[in-house]
Amino acid sequence: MVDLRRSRRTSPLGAAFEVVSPDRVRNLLPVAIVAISSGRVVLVLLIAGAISLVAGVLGWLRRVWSFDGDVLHLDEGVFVRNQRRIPVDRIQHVELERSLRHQLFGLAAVRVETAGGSGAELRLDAIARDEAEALRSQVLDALRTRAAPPDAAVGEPDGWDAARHGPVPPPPPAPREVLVRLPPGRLLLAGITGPEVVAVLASLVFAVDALADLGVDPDEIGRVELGRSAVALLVLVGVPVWFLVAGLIAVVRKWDLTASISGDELRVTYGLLRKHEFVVRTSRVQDARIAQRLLLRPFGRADLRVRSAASGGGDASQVDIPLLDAAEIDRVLARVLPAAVPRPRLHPAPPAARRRALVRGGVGALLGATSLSVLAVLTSRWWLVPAAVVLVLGPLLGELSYRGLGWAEASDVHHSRSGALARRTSIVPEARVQSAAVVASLFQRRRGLASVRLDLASSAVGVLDRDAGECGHIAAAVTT
Amino acid sequence: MTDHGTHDPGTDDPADELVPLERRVLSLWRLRAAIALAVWVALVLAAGVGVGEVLGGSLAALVLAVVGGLVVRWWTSLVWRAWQFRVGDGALHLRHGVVTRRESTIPYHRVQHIDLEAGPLERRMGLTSLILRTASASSDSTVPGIDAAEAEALRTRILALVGTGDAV
Repeated sequence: MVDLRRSRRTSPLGAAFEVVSPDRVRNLLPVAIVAISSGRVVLVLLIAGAISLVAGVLGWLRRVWSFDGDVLHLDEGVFVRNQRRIPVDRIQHVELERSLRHQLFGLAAVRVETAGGSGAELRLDAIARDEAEALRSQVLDALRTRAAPPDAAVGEPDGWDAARHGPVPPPPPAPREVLVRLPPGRLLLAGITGPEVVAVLASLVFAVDALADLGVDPDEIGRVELGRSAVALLVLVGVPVWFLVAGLIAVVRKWDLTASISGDELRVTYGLLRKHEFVVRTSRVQDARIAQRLLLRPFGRADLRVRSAASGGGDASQVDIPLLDAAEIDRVLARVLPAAVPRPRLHPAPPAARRRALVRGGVGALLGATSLSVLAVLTSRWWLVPAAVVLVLGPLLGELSYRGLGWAEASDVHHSRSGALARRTSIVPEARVQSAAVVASLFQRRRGLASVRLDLASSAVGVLDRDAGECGHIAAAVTT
Repeated sequence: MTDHGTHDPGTDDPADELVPLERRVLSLWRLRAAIALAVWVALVLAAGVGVGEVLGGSLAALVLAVVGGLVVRWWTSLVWRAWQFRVGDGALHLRHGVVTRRESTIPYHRVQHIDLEAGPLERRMGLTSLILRTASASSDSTVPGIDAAEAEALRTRILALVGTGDAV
């Protein structure tokens, strides 16, 4: 067995690999352009190659690693030195990669992944194959022995004779229970009121742009004389078509969205052309978010988002279930984050937060109205109309954003709401909070306010504009 | 509760044991800013020569050097004075920020791995940055400059407290 406790270097061939790695070659592109344009191709390429080689060798000389059974050590860096220590229980998995160049020289690259987050991955390119395999098996062994004690109960049942009956059969799968299933009509509504509307508009603009590229002058389109009835017809037909397209996109993308649960496994399937299957153990769910769209808020409908700790963001780590009513949301939450239901009544933010929101809205409105007035003086008096509108809307938005704020904690789950028009409520179990920060800007401090940032493996969630002392208590509660 | 500013989210120690960064960190930040300032002064001088206004260029460079130097001196000391931290029994506590104040708590049992980083200037001054990495990308968990030997000791101590389990 290879003893990895001694500090060791990676293979010197790694330095050579780096010189020809795709990244480096890409960096050489501008050099090549300089070389060709200056006419001294050989000289410039030689210098660039030499610099690259020296950098590779220096980097290799400084890269030292070892594994002592508990902690993986990696020291590297020529100018900025980085010493990494990864405790073995934080390692999510170890992967060996052997591309052609590795296979040619009996080498391997090892990728060690820890959970989500930044700087979460460690890569040892080009180490001897036996070292790589030893590292993998020793890390996995260490993980297994650590995981064993609590898991011992799920070994062989009493009286089970492995020699006679063979290995323990897997338990029968728990029955699958459908939590929600969205009919096409609801998906259509989701598309018409959702981000797809903006996306379709953007692609319309893009299409006009493309027409211009094809030689059709957009000005000319504008110059075509349209009768009033023609314009009206265009709007009457065009706008419904635009929204219909947006709705259909949602129907196709989220076709037959079904959320079901079996044991602790949540499964969300959707999609007509590209089928998605999002499966997550509820024990791995990080947080949930309820988003109320502006137009549908009066109808009590909201989107539910469930997130895991997987890196990559977007579809890779979350799933959205659109337009659920309150009972449906509770039904899903009760299975995914049981401690989150019943959802508590949220406490409003303190009065100081209302004053801050009003001032913020007012100042924003003043700035906007001022610049519009300048425009009115310079061009047409009609600009005073939007200026007046902005002046009224600013404080109104401020008031709305204050009313959007709310927070409550119940059975160690934090519920935090914000948003002036569309409101979002994040649901965060304390057990998922990685670290917390109380953040207070100059303006918040003057009013005795602060915000709390809860850092999760999925992303950060804010509890905005609360009493500074309360913020301290929240941060303390989630980090103990 | 009147102690908003000093309220400490940790439960393991009283709040008043926060310690400042090494005094050397202030010198490091000033040195870094001075180097950047020197580059700008040189650029202004070169631009002056370039457009044939040597006297004007030199004057502008002089003003930039003096005003920039004063601003750097003032701002870095504000930042340094605002920076405090404590290596508690169960968590690392940071407090920093001049305009926006941040008080962060990073429990050791959430730590995924620990980085020590030191650039050429930091190494020359015997300093190093201690970074606790959690599973969250947004964790604010960098102590920018503690004594290099002390950092190693801290790392050993914190690693011993990290515990088992995957902590996500």
